[in-house]
Amino acid sequence: MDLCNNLKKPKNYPLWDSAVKIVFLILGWIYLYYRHNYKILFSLITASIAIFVFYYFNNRSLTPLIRLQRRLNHLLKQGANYILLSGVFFLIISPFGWIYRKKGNGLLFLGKKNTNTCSYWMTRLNSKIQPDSFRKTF
Amino acid sequence: MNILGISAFYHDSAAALIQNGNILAAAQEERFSRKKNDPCFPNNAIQFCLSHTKLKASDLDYIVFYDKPLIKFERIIETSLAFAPKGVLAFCKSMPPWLTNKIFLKYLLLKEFEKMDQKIDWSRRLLFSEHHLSHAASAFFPSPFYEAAILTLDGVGEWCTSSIGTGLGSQLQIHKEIHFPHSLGLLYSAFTSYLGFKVNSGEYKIMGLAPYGTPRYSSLIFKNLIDVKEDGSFQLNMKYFDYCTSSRMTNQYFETLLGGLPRHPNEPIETRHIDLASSIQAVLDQIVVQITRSIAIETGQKNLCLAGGVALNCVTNSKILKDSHFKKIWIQPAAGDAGGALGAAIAVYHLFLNGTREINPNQDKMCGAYLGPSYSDEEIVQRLHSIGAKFEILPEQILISECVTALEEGKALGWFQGRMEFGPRALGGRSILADARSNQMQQKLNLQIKFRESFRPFAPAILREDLSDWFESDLDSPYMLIIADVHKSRRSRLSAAQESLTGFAKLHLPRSTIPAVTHVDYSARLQTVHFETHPLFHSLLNAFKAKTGCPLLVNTSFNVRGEPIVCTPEDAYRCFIGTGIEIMAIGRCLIRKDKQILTQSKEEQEIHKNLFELD
Repeated sequence: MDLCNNLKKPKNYPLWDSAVKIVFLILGWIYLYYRHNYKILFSLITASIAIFVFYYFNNRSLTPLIRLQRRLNHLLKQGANYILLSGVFFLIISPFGWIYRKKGNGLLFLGKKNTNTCSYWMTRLNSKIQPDSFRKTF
Repeated sequence: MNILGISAFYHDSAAALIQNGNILAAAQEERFSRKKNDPCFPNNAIQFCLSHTKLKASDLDYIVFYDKPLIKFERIIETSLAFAPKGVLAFCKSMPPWLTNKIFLKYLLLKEFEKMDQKIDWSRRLLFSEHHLSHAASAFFPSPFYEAAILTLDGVGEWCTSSIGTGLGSQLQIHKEIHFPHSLGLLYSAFTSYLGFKVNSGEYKIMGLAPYGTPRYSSLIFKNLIDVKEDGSFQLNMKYFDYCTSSRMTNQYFETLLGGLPRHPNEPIETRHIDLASSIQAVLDQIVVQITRSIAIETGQKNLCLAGGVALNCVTNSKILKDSHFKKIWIQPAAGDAGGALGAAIAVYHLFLNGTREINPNQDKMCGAYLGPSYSDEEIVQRLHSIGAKFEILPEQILISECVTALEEGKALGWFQGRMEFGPRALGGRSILADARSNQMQQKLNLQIKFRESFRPFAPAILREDLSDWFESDLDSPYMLIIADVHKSRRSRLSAAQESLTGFAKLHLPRSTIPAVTHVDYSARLQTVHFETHPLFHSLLNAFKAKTGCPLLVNTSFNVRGEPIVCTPEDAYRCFIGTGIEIMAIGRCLIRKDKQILTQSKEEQEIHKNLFELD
């Protein structure tokens, strides 16, 4: 929900700017360390400064990139979630559910028409509300 | 003792503030965020409640959440256990928000309140009510009854979908329950979804559609979809429903049984769809009446209080009244989940703190449901100036007289006066008003102003003192939750050929002298206007009556299809400009469309309309 809301509103996103600078600086330093090639370092730092300046004056221009990055993150996260939760579902929930049902435990009152009973109302055990119950989340 | 009730994270978030048992303020978050049925934490609604009552966060003695999150979580897990290995997708979809947020709801709420004031130990002040207890409390404690039976019916809370209770003075007990997945609310929603409307908001359309059809599927529904006992208790046949294991409400068995695929929202509505709407309405009416009969016999009570989403079905409510097993019924105007916020707060006051209850048998405690924000004339003027509106500031009597003239000329009037309503109905605080005597008004309001389906009926707001002259009823209905038939003397004579028409062919027949509010079965969803709760609206109706002899007006909510009801003068102005409303009265300011520099072309109106999703 929050993600979708944020996507609709292009926002100033200073973190993105910092991340770009840091990545370019690290790459620059790596090149400096391994190749001693100052030209590449210079161009990378220049590109970093150019992006910083451009973004400083026109920060909305990077919104599509931010959106893309977020959508990608979201998809990856969702995919991972689905794989993990499917595992939990098939390896834990399904066998337990099967055992419960085999044992004859009537989960959720799913039985068909019950002709033996004259009412489906369930009598509540604590019909009088206990004041302490307000403190509990269960 | 200040208690703040909150409902959130499902649909229709809201906040309500009570002080020593008196309701001071309540509002739904959607009105501020402008997102229909907004489920987010109701930050704006809370801020409104505090600012309206001039309280600080530290003045709140207790904060109550309207349900018990961990019991809900248990229900979701148990549902998965019951259906596994079916339902993996539903499990994967429902778990992430639970595992990341909802399961830690207590801490999430504490964090939100710490943002307001870090110095306070909020954990001592945070309480949790049960979902149906919140509904029951919202139905009984604000009612004018010392004792009553209480019935709550909705989709689902934690486990409970229906409950029966009794209230006596400041005590309330819940005696019986029916648990998930067996739910009248979900049964009705399943048909809503099958008929191509949006669940949790399109249910009104089914109710409006029902009188056009014949309930020829009722016996099929009773035979296959639901088993009902003598006392009205019921159990659904889950073979036909998929809501436990997927995001779909129904499945292929349901489609085979009812003879076709679900209707797509863009498809035309056929006779079969109309008959299905009629059938599910008839089924609901019959079951609820059976339940209320058995409650009346079992509890011996003469009064009944109702809440839960199903209680917003005014056709069913009227059937309960007609059945006359109860002398009086009172329905919480915010009967849906928003009202849970209010109920939770009142439940804590009476059941946790043992607060006493003062009862006025002639007046409930809802203050006419006018519990939302209001704006002073100075503030309205300043706000209207800032958005470039052109308006006149008029004395009250002249304002009313100008409004009456416009209404008589067949114009639609935007009426923004006093406090905003709490609950789904506009009751004269944020309303669009029009002359009910006009033959074209229903079509005009539906197609040019509300941008919604032409079959949907409109409700009349009538002076309480004139009610029995115009309708076959003499009961108060201040919250538009009861229907009554147009008085026989006001009905038009239809020819035999006209009488034999079916479906939407009935739509444009002038059935009475007030055709804009007369549904095809001569019924109307009534709002009785009382001087005590809204004197200005009462004066307007009086002035209209003096000029035309008609003491009633069409009253529909001030919004377009799918949009939350307007809250601020700016929202009202935006809606006014984007629709066919011709004149608007905001406080003492009168705004005429033809005087505005900012007007919208048809294309721009189309864009405005499409800002909001079709329900």
